[in-house]
Amino acid sequence: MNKKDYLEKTKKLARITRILCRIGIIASAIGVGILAVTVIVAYVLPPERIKPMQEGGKLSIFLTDNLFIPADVLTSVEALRGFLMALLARISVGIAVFIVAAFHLMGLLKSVENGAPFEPQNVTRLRKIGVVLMIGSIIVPTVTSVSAILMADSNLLDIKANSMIDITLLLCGLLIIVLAGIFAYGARLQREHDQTV
Amino acid sequence: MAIITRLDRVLADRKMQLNELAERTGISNVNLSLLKTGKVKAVRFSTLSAVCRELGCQPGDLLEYTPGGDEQEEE
Repeated sequence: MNKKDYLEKTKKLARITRILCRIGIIASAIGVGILAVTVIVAYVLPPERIKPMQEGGKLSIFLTDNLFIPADVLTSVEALRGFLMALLARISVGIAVFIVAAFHLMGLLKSVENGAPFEPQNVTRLRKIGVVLMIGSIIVPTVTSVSAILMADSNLLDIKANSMIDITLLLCGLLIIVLAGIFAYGARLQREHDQTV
Repeated sequence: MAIITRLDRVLADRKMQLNELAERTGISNVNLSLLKTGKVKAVRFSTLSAVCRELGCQPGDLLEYTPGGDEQEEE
């Protein structure tokens, strides 16, 4: 594969990734919107109009690595409302981190499509992505654990919540910040190249 | 910048326009304009060679060193 083919394939891959990011952002926003409406409806409707899970039901949802809620717990309206609120909080925080990172990633991918990956704005974008992921590595597990604890406090389930830092997300954030430094060097070389006739 | 270009002077001596030089050398008008106004950081030997070939001059005719230009640049 010669250099030109490789560049064209890279641009094509960047374009596909950017489209996938856009789809992911839209789908996430719609999902959170639907969940938010569900929560609002659950709180607004009078209790007699809400039908919680029947005992012995088979629905099980993971909220944290240690939290496994069997359906027979969600047999009261208060339990269902609390569960939906905890789910909304956990998912919203995770999706917010994803949307912010994906938005900046789309800008970076657009510059790759345009054949200018080492523009100075990409250094800033990568730093922001790294910082968002690092903050998310603390916030997402914290919100998840707090949700789980609140649900435990409401006597839904006797659970223990741990892992207040997502190490994978933290390491990804750090790696991307290092990558931003590499791109800063690349931007400097690009500028020198552009100013050479 | 301590190095200044005298491309405009040589072009005037040869009675050549920048467009014509661009066409002959294969260097873009934009780049030659940047070279003429001294807004470049570096010049490739290949560019210098092409310009000297078409203008029939030496690199020293195109480039001039001004002492003290480096101090001004540092400030």
